[in-house]
Amino acid sequence: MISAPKASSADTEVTPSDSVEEFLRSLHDKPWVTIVWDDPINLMSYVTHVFMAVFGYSRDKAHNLMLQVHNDGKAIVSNGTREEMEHDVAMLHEYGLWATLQRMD
Amino acid sequence: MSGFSRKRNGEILATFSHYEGAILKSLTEQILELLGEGDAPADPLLAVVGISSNDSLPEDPVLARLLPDAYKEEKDAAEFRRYTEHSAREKKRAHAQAIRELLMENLGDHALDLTEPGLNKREELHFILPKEKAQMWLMGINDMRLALGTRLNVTPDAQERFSAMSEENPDKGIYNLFAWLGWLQEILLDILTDTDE
Repeated sequence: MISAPKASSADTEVTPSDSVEEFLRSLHDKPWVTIVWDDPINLMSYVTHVFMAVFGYSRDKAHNLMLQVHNDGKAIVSNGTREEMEHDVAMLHEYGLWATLQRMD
Repeated sequence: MSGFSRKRNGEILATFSHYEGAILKSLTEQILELLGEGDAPADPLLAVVGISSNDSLPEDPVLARLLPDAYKEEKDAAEFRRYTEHSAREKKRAHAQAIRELLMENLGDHALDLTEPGLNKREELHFILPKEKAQMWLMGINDMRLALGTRLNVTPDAQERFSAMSEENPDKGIYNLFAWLGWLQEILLDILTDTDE
């Protein structure tokens, strides 16, 4: 059994060490990304619609991402934790888009 | 004119010939059958929680397109698939069911049988597509396009390739169906976009 630390004197004040800061930052980092790949079947208007429906993106943002997929062959459409990206990919698959997730390069 | 239109009160009106309705219904059944193939969890206990024994990309290219890998790395893809493939199949089956059920409700089974001798192919059918089902229809039509497009090996130059094709070629008919579904999808998207904004 241990007793709770007394929080009375000035020397108990906590100053975050570098390692703690780093740890906290890593919690906020979103190192995983969802990538949508170009395919010859899905309609451009449909892909734009899906980005709006799944991510709540504005029409402009969704349209630009769709063009990026179309012109560059792929685009990063979201980033976050691995679990969040697995959720995004499953949603995009339900809509029929070709999507994968990976750790950010 | 077949397809979708928006009524003054905002409702979506669907108009199809008997023949088109029958084709759509038949496509939903093929999709349902396809998605049922190989979806047999080996362990009934795992089935309860939706885990399947499948861990590799389906061999059928159409099924592989409908249920793609989530990871480029094989090991991660297999792990993800074990936990999600069954529910992914169920979701896609629900799209097809939504289309099939509404067609059946409004048209009756016998009217949609292509082999029915009394079928008046040109007679038009009208029914309301409820807003809450419109997304399911949109996804379901897309699943059909993915299935037909993959079977036809559609490439970006498909339109040229298929318009040059002889009417005798059975692929031409399938391509026309594929193109029609794309046109249907575009109209439905237009209506949904107008309604949202």
